Amino acid sequence: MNMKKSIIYIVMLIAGFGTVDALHAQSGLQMRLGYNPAMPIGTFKDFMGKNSFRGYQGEISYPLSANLRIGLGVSFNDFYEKHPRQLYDTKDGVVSAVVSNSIQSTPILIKANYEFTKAQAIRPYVGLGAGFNLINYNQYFGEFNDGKSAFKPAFAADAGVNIPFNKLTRSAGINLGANFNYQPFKYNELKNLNSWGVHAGVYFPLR
Amino acid sequence: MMMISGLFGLVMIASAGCQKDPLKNLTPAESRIYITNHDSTADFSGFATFSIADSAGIIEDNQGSGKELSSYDAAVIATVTKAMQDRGFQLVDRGDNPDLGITVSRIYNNYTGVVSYPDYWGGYGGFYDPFYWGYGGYDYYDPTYYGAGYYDVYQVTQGALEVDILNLKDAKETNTIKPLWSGMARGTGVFNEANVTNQVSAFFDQSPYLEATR
Repeated sequence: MNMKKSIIYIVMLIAGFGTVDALHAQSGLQMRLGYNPAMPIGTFKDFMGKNSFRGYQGEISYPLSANLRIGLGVSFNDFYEKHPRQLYDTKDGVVSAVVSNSIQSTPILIKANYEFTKAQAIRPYVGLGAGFNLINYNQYFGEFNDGKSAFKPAFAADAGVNIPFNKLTRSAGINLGANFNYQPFKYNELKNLNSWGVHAGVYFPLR
Repeated sequence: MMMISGLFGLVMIASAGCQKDPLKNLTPAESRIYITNHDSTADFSGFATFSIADSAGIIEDNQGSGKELSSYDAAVIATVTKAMQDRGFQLVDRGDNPDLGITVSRIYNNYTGVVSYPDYWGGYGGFYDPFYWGYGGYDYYDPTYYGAGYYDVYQVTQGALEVDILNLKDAKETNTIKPLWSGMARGTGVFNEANVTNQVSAFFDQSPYLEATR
């Protein structure tokens, strides 16, 4: 499946949810979908010099109070970097190779978001998440790869703003924010997959 | 529950469609790797002459299946010969007590798994047995002598070109023919004759110690 088809499917699904939005304007259950590029930091940046511009997130949440929501969030980031051909030392020799590093990170987190105000057109919020991360790691020497999949704990902190579309319902709108992703993963020279991310998307009621 | 499934579905659709495939982003030249290993205790300046086998050994599924001399094999033999001469070694006939023996092999392992050099070595002696070099009754040295890490292990999906340099000079003293150096090329187009020069150059460029006293 290519990227264009994926985007078309996602737009169609959002359009479908939009219909639900109109019918259930005063809903409690809410979905958030967005684009979230990520930037490796710390030791992960030493390994992966390129940012992930292939990143998406989705979240379903339910209000516990007027300002506090809890929910389940799933996000995805694809990190990829190809190094020019160079020599790599082995124990008694040398390998000449074009090395490509490819990592897919899919954290599945229980999330809590606190919105500071419900009255303003722009509503700041902060959020925390904890859960597990499905990791797919591949390091290619030329076309020969060393792969590993893992399921590790993951944590995230999120801050941003919600901007409702409609003054009457205020149940759907735009979401903008930044997030810090704490993702332990020890393998070869990697110690973690920690990153900063920014995200932009929409939120809307489900029912 | 349906909502949660839908959420997972959305992210999975996005991830499946937008993941960069590293293999599709490689040219054939980029797909190839060149591995060289050597006995780190060897001093190549102590060797002056060499002889190179007149055909390539064919290794299939870690078993020897014969010798061949295709135009590709001939190109490899000629290119390795020139590279050795450029490094100061003198080509001599096999019967003139060369210090070094060089063999060229094409390896085909038709399974997805790992091949380690010792496995390959096990099929090696059947083609260029010690008699070939005039050392009948001698053994080839077990490469595991150098430790498990001496030869790296890679997943095999295609064939490999292997060039080995053997110590004939000290064979009488040790009663064995020890490997001193190996070069292996793997990846797309590795058996393409047009790539021979680049592959052999890579072997020698990353082995600067491989030089005779001039």
